This record gives sequence, structure tokens and C-alpha cells, in this order.
Amino acid sequence: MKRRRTKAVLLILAVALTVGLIGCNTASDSSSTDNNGVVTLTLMTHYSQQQEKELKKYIDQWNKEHPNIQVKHKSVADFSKLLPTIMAQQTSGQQADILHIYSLWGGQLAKSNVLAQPPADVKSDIEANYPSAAIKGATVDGKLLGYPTEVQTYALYYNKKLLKDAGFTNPPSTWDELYQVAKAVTKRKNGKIVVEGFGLKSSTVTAGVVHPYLSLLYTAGGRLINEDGTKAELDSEAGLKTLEFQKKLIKEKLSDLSIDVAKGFPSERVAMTINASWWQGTLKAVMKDNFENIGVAPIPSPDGKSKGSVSYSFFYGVNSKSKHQEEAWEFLKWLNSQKQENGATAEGNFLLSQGIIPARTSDIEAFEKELSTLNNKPFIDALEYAVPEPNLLQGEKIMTLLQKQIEAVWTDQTRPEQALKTATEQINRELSQ
Amino acid sequence: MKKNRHLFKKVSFNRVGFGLTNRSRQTVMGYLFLFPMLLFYAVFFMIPILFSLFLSFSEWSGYDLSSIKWVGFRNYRQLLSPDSEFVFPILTNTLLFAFGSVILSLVFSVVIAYMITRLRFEGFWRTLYFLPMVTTVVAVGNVWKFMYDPNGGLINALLNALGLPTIAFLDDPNTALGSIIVVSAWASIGGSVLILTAGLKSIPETYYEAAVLEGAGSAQLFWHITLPLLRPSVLFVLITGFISGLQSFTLILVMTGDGGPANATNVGGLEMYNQAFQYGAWGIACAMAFILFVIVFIATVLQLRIFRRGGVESY
Repeated sequence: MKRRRTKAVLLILAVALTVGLIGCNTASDSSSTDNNGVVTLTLMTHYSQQQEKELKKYIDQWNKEHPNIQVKHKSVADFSKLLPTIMAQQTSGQQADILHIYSLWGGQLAKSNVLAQPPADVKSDIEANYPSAAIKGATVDGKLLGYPTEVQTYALYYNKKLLKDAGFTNPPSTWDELYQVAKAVTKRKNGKIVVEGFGLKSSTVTAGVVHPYLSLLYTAGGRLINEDGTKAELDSEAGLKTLEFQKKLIKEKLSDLSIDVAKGFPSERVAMTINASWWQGTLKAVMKDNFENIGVAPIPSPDGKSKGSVSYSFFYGVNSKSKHQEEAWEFLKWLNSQKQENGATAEGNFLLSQGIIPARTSDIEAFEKELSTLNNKPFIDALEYAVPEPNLLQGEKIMTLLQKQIEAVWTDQTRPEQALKTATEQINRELSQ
Repeated sequence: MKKNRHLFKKVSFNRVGFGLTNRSRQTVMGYLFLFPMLLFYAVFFMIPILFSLFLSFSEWSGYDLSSIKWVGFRNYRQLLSPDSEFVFPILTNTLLFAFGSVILSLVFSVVIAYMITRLRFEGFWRTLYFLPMVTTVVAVGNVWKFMYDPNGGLINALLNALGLPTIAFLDDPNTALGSIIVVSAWASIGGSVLILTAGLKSIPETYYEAAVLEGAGSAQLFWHITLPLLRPSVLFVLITGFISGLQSFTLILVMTGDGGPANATNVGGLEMYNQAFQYGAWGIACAMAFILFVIVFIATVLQLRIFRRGGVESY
């Protein structure tokens, strides 16, 4: 009898423990209202460590000035995990109120109704105070979804010292000049490149391959997709010309795909490359005094006259499932439009502290002195003509499809004409679904 | 005798409340004790599998459960169509990776296990070969990535010192997959050596003694005694290695990122992850998972049939 009772007790405990463990969950990220009517909002971004610390200064400022609406920051330190985290939280009902979104995901999120429409005053504010590249990045299917934050454009980074040693005082402005400079600057030892003329792959992610290609494509008058985003237009003379130009650099060993440009350029083993404006902050931190050797110029074009660049951006949006959307937009309005003592917004101050050019026009004006460095000018100028990444539903997939075909050409797996034909077919198939 | 029969009846048919026999009571208790584990299995295994099966016939972006849309066999048709990249290069890469790493690992494991059993300090050698198994895949991947680096990596430094040209192991589509196969095989040698060593130790010495008396040399002993009697262990290593190889994801992600140059190292596991979490195409991802499941199932059945004979008990 005693043994039976002991067994029964153990069994009940085992079931309770199992059910309890299954039922366990971590603290919810959803907004809450406490008994005193204080609303707590969650803001989720990929900013971590030093960036998070800087952003927190402004969040703490808001929290002090607005005791009834408190904001807490949740960091997803690994950027590649940000979208999966948003996805999982949305399904499980643990969504953050305010999300910092990469514009390429806009299509996916808009289709799934993740983001709420901004109120009319927010829309008017954004339309009046941001450049077109920034607004387009935060707009999907004609609907503006939030406050643009970082807007990155691309330009040509070059090492002034390496170019000077090869006899060039100015950066190239045409593709022919780029080729000549790369040829003169490239140094080899025992058949191996020790100084690379032009770095083609600025990073290992999709953007590192695709964005430089698209930047060159746009200077040649080409297009990735048509205006209404229904058809790819890569298979063109401009598309072919661009890919063949890149292939030529590799074939003549002026570009070496095995050189990691992210390491090679700061260590002055790569003379030129195309990258985004945020990279200046990284280069300054890594190169220290040698950063004065770095120059930035507009991306060279075939004729030296036409301009082209790619832009990608981030924006703050409010979750459509948030129970406190009004409060969330209040915070975003304060962060992005209310001027601080120095005439710039909190978001503008935060972005500048990270070496990122703010998107808001008034912030660019407020920081005229800080942004007036020669290196910032090509990025700021590019805001007017840069073509934003397509933030369609299939945006990520399209970028990856293009990346694989570009790499196939670089590595001699296929010819440029076939690669563009395949990429166009694949992208059109995605767009038609 | 009569007394014992009564006793037997009392034990066998002792009804203890609820109208249950002793045997039934034991059965019920057994299931009740299994219940927590079964519940855990149902919640974390069966339900996700059934949900994935349902999703494989649906279209879902991953954000809102109410937006799941039934599409029938569309996802499977899309994946198996001639235009799809799933069959080539993704499935092809997956099978090449699985076969390559398993065969390479098995060959070396058999040789190493055989050598270890004939060396002194067996424990030390086994520990040495097992160390990669207890190192995280991320660490293994990063160390080998550094070794493969064409600019300053250990392997290319050795090649250059020997007057050989630099090889861009992970940047060249022709060498990228093979380079990762080598790493995967190396990392799994330890586990296979453990299993095979146990298998080797179960082979009675009398077989070897008898063969030696008949004049068999080392090679003959290995081919005609060791290998046939090692079949069950080899089967286990092959099946588990192959299943693991077909599901490989982390090592490839760490070493070549998003599928390598020109999709050269893109495998099923990685593509499924991208389809679900990057492109929001959960239906496609789940359909891929089930196609891979069918392949694993067929491969396992084939291996069981080919290697079913063998082992000490068969001879």
C-alpha cells in the first residue's frame, strides 16, 4: 500500500514537471500596462554593445520626460537573426511594439500585415523632411510604413597613397580610367597578388556582391527590375557590359576573389572598392592615422558623366499587433522629428555618433560642419540619384538569385550572357508568383 | 501441489482495485510512467512533424497562423520542376556531401580503429581522435576556414613552401564542397572510431588464430575476417553518418556562409533555413524537408538490406 502510494506520488510529480516545463515561457516582449496606467513599449533593433549603449541614452531621456510611456530596448545582436526573431515572435504573440526594419524585408512584412500604417501627421512629416531614396526605402506598394533611419548609399573608396605611388593624383571617373588605375596599382609577388587593384566583393553577404554590381549597372544606365516591379530588366546591354567589365578585372588579375576586401582595404592591400557610407566608421576605427590615406569618390561610369548608386535603408515601424500603437508613434515622432539642443533630432544624433549619415534633411543641415568632410560628400550627393533596393515580397530571394549568377561568372562557371539570361528568368519566375 | 496452484492463481489473478489484474496493473503503470516522455515526444516531435507536413501543402509567410493557405501539391511541383534549383545543385550537393563525408570518414575510421587496437596506450589514441567530436562545430569550422585561407592560411603556406600554387579552397566552386567534405569527415572520425573499436573488440581472437595457423597474412586477416565481422558496426556508422550528412547545416553556414560561391556548397538544410527564415516561404521549406526525409528513408532501407548479413553471429 505504502509502495503504491509512493509510486502514485512520483508519477504525479513527473507529469506535473513535464507539463510545467512545456508550459514554461520567458518574459513576454509584448507591451504592457501596469496598474498605474504606465505603458511599457518594447523597441527591437539589431544595435548591440556600443551602439545599444548610445541609443539607450536617448531612450533614457524619453523615459525621464515621459513617465507614463516607458520604452525598453531589446537587442538582437546578430543581424542575420533579426528577421527570424521578428517572425517567431509575431507568430507566438510575443511581438515587440516598435521594429527597426531593413528595407529589403518591407515586402514580406507588408504582405503579412506586420506593420501598422502611420497616422497622417507622421506621413506628412516624413514626406516633407526626407529625401526620395529614404522615403522609397520605407514605402511598399505605395504605402509609407515608418520613419526612415539609416540610408546607405554606395561610392568608390580608394587609397590615395597607393594611387599616388602609381602616379595618379585623382580617383577614376570612368570605367576605362578605373581599369588603367587598377592595372597600374596592382602588384604581384611570385604570381600572387600582394596589392589588389580593385576589390570586387566588399563582404561575404549578398549585398557585398550584388550592391557593387548594381551600383556599376546603374551608372551604365541599366536596371534591375522595371518601375512597377513586375519584370527583371537585367538581360540588357548595360547588364552585360557591367558583368563583362567585372570579369575583365578578374581575368587580368586586377581583382582577386580570394582576397577579403573587408580586411585587405584597411590593411592597404586593396587600392579601390565600392562600399556603403557606414564603412567609414569601421575604417576610421581600424586604420587610425592611416585613415587619412582613404578617399571617397562617386562611382565611375562608362562615360564619366552619368551617375549611379544603390541605396538601402532601415526604418522604424510600429507593429500592427501592438496594443499601444498611439504611444509607439508618439515615441517615434519624438525620436525622429523633435529637435534636441544642437538642432538635430535624437535619431540624427545617434546615427552621427555611429559615423552614419542621418537621413532626415534637417539633421543633415544641423550637422553641416560634421558632414562637410570630403569623404561624406559623394554619399550625401548620391541620396538624390541612388536607386533603392527593391523592397518587394521577393526582395531577398531576388538578391540571392542575382548574387549566385554573378559569382558563377566571376568563377568561370558560366558566361555573362547566360548568367544574365538565367538570372532574368529566375527573377521573373519569382515576380510572377 | 494444490496449495501451489492456489498460490499461483492468487498471484496471477490478484485483483487490486479498479477491477484490474496484476498484469494489467503493471501495464497501466508502465504506460503511466512513459506518459511524460510520450507527452514530450508528442509536443516537441510529432506535432511539429505533422504541422510541417501540413505546411508542405500550404503557403505561409511565417508571421500569422491565420494566413496559412492550402495549395495542394504546388510546392512539390515547384521544387521538382526542371527550372528549380532544388534538384540541381542543392539536392546534388547534399547527396555528394553526405556520401563524400561518410565514405571518407569510414575508410579512415576503419583503418584508425584497426591500428589503435594494435597499439599501446589505446585510451590515449582514442581520446585524441575523439577530441574533434567534443569541439563545437562553429569552432571547428572557423579554425579550418582559417587554415584554408588563401592569404596566410596554414595549408596554402605549406603548399607555397613546396613551390605549389595557392588554392582558393572555399572561394572556388570547384574545390569548395570537397574542402568542406574533408572537414566534416575529419570531425566525425572520432565517433566512428569509438563504434568500430567496440566492434573490433567483439571479434573473437580465435578466428584470427585459426587464420594465422592456415597461413593468412595481415591483409587477408583484415579483408576476410575483420571487415566481414565488422559489418554491423559499419552499418551503424554508415546509417548514422549518412543521416547526419544529409542534414548538415552549421558547418557549411560557418565555412561558406550563404551557400558558397555560385551555390557550390548550398545543401538542403541551409536552403530550407533560407526559404523559411529569409524568404518567408515556409511551404517550400517544409516540402524540401519531406523530400529529404523520403531520400533518407530510402537510403537507410538500402543500407540495411546491403549490410544485413554480417557480424559475428552470422558466421
